[in-house]
Amino acid sequence: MISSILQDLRIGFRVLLKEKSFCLLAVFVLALGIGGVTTMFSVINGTMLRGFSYPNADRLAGVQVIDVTQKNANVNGFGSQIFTLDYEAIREQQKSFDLLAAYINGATVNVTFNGVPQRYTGAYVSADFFRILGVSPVLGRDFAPDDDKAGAAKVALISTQLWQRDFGSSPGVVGKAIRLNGKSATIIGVMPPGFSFPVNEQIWIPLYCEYPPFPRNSPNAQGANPAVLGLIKRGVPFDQATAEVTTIAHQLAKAFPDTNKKFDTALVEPLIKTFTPPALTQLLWTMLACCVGILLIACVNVMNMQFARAALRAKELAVRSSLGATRFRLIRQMLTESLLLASVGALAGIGVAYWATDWLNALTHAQANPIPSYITFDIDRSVLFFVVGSAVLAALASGLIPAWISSRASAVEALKESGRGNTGRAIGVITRGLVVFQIFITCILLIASLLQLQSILRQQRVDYGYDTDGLLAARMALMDGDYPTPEARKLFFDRLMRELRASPDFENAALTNRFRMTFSGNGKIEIEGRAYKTDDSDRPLANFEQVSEGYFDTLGAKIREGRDFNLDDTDMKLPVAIVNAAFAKKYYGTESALGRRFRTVGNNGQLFGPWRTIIGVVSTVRMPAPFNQPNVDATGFYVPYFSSTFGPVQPGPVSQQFATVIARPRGAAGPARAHAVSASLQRTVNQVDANLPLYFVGTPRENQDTFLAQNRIVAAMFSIFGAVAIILSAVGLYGVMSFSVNQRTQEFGIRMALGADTNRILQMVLRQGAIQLAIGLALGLGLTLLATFAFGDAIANFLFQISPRDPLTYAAVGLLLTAVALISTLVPARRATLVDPMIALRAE
Amino acid sequence: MSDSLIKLEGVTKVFLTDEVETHALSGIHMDIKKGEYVSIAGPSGCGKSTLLSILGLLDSPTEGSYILNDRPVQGLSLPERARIRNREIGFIFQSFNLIGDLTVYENVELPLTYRGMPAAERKAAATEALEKVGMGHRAKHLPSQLSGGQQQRVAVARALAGKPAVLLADEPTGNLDSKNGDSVMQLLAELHKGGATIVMVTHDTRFARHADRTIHIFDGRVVQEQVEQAH
Ligand SMILES: Nc1ncnc2c1ncn2[C@@H]1O[C@H](COP(=O)(O)OP(=O)(O)OP(=O)(O)O)[C@@H](O)[C@H]1O
Ligand SMILES: [Mg+2]
Repeated sequence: MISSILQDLRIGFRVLLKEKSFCLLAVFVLALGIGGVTTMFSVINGTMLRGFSYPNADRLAGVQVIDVTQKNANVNGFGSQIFTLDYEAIREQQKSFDLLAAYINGATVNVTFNGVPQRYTGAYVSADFFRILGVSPVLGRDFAPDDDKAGAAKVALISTQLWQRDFGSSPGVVGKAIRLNGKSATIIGVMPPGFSFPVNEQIWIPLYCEYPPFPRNSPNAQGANPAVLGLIKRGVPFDQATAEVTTIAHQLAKAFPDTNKKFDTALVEPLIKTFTPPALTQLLWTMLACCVGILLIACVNVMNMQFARAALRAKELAVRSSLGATRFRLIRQMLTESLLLASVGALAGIGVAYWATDWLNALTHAQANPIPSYITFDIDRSVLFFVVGSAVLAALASGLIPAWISSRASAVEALKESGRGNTGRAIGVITRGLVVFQIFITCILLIASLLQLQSILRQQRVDYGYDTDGLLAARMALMDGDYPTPEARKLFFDRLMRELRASPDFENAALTNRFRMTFSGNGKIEIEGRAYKTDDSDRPLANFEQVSEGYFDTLGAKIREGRDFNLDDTDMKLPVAIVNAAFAKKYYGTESALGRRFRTVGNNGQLFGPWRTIIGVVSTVRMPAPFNQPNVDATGFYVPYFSSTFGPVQPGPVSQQFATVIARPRGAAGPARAHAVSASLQRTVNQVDANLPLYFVGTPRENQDTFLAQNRIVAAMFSIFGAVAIILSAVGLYGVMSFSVNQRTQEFGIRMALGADTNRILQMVLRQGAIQLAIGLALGLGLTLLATFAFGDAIANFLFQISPRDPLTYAAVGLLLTAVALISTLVPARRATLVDPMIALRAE
Repeated sequence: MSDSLIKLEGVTKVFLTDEVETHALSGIHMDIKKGEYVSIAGPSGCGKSTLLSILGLLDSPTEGSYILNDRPVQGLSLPERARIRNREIGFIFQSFNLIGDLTVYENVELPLTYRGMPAAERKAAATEALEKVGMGHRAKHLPSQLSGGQQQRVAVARALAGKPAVLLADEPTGNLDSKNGDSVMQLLAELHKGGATIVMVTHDTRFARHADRTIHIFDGRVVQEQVEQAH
């Protein structure tokens, strides 16, 4: 048995070496297919299967409490609400975890060291944070419980990367004093190289020392709603922990209905799952499905080539079987060849995957808004298993059916003089069917890629309604150390605005709470004089932004009616608002909005803002971020910068720690001019506060672009999928048509002898291609369309401002595939017309 | 209008392969009248098939003129040649050359389709031709389901369905046993009696006797014309 298999292998090698062009093409096609699916699998593996490499990785749990009705928030992974007081309650009552920790990551930390102010990305974490992971500092000590208390001496741990970059790799850094968020703090240690958990953190600070527990009804307070992770006890299943925390959440919801009523469902999952929101999971699996589709197309190509070979080898097979080879033996021989091919294809595919993962790693980690550092795409052991699996499947898929069918041909039939027998016809039907299948899959892939591509293009071309290239925007964080009160912050902001407007470099400047000029908030409102239900289900959503006077002027938005805010507009005097044209039109139609009133509705219809009088109507600039937000339209309102959008009127100015400043440069417009004055902006800020670093400095467009970078990669990958699919399909169609033309040379000769002219022959071949194309297109376009009806919501989630049934896209895919099919059929068809009719006279 | 159907004058055919010239035909003169039954004989490689392919407009002569039905046909374009093949010429091949994917009926109908004949006329003509060769009952069969003799009968039906000016047959019995061969020859003889013009290449002197005359070819030249006296 072994020796006969060895013989099969030897013969297989010999056969394949003899047919070099077949081999090269098959290996190329399989390498693309296996390489693609391997790359995508390594992305999925790195993102959500492999998990973390920390010692306690298998017991790490993410703890969330969600409002199950907030589908969109849950799908996008920001639906959890655990106030610090809730966290404390859970921690005290639970028995499922050895340790729990609360944390806030991606936070801005202002650090001045050696007189240089810098903004770091940091995390505020409970004392047990690193013990849960099982990671300790390589230098210095971990946080102790006493560090994590209100009023404790400020301490910080830094990453190795920071230690090397900003602290000269000095071992003496432990115990060094720095200025941290306006207070003096001590560096107590350095975390291991490469460690930047949870996302891309550079510095870690005890949570309660910075943000002591807030009362529950201050939802907007910074640090009020931390994320929670835990070290689940050995042997405790996640379900059990979920049930336990759900019980606690129930009690809290009952005890504090104002804030917690709807948040009564816990979700305790492996941490990696918590970190991978369902929307991302869906996207990744969809992409893997695309790659599997490509691999299928590749297998079909090889299968068709195998069919062609089998037809050419029919005589050889018949001779073998007449010499006594069993059918099993024939199949085994052919499968051995397929396996050999698939193995070489897999090796080449691993090469493709190495190259592709390198590219993806570099791309995804180098952008301004990089993916979490724990995610790397590698060809590790499980990826290799996957490769072997897909290669074997590819070999079986591409080799078994051809081997099965061609070994069925009876010796008599194949040895008979007269041409194609039943097997030949069956093979003809099957190969044509397979081409239809390829076109079908390609069609789906092309629609998906084209929709993705247009979606990202639309995101990039969102018209914000002002010149997003001509302004300079920057973010600042006024931390408690230097600015313990809103009054202190207001003093700073007032001075900054005066200085900026006095500067010869700037024409105007203003403040907003819009994050990176991309995200503003939205919330429910009610219009005075209209009747609403008691719960908040029928209140409309509107976008909102807190802006200083001069904001619209700086943006270049026109006040169409009424006036801009001025420094006297405070909520204590009279709560006012400016609404955009879309808001005015929607709620007041042709009547003037001036003097009308509305108010905000927060906390599930229980927290009302004051009635705000509309004092101005401004032209509509885009307020929502360039992402899908169901139920959010263009309507929006603005409130004075030092007031609160939600809740009752506050005594004194309201001022968040974080602010976005925008400034319009004097002189020429455009990003170059904006960059030229960025040093001047920083200088002016430092004239007012020498320790305040600016960050996210750039034009609004540049800021908006950072959020689209990952989508661009996704779109690039979808484009690659589409391109590869179309190339492979073209190869497939060309191969089948060529083979069929070769097989029918004699027939074309006869037809010509009977009076068919070249046009007729050309048409005949083209028609055969057209029929396959038409069926494939009808299936592909039709079934995709049907799928959009069945899964419309899920698909729409991936798309921005384009319908999954966009007729232009479908038409374009149809045209593109038709063009490709025409080209790949035309060459064999031309060859058919060149057949010499004399061939009819010659006996075979 | 003369009663000459085919007139060859000084026809030569030279094949050039790998710088080697093969003179397949060297100065053939030939005149075939309407309603004649001519057989062409000669040793293997003497140029019989080449001559037939020129007569059938599958190939064109290197030199010389060919007048078919009072019309010179050397300089015609490819589509016109295809048209003449379709309307004026019926081919019968040694290896039958039925198209395997088409039924018997569809094979016979094929040249009529190329002519753009309406479906009803096609049906009438194809059925008539099949009846004539005694294969009407096998119209729905595939060629692979027929014996060699039956296949050749279908091929004859296909050749005559369009009522061509001339039937060209290249060794029509070459792939058949003697019994089947006899009956196909019988069929051609009957067609000739019915008025058909036939040019047939054959080795078999027995069959040559059916013809009005036999043209002997040797090394690309006509060496002897012999008028059959048998009937
Ligand atoms: N396409 C071609 N290219 C080169 N030489 C050719 C070609 N066709 C025929 N010949 C040569 O022309 C000569 C005549 O060939 P042809 O086929 O006409 O012979 P034939 O009389 O039909 O022989 P047979 O009785 O064996 O069928 C031969 O020497 C042949 O090799
Ligand atoms: Mg011959």
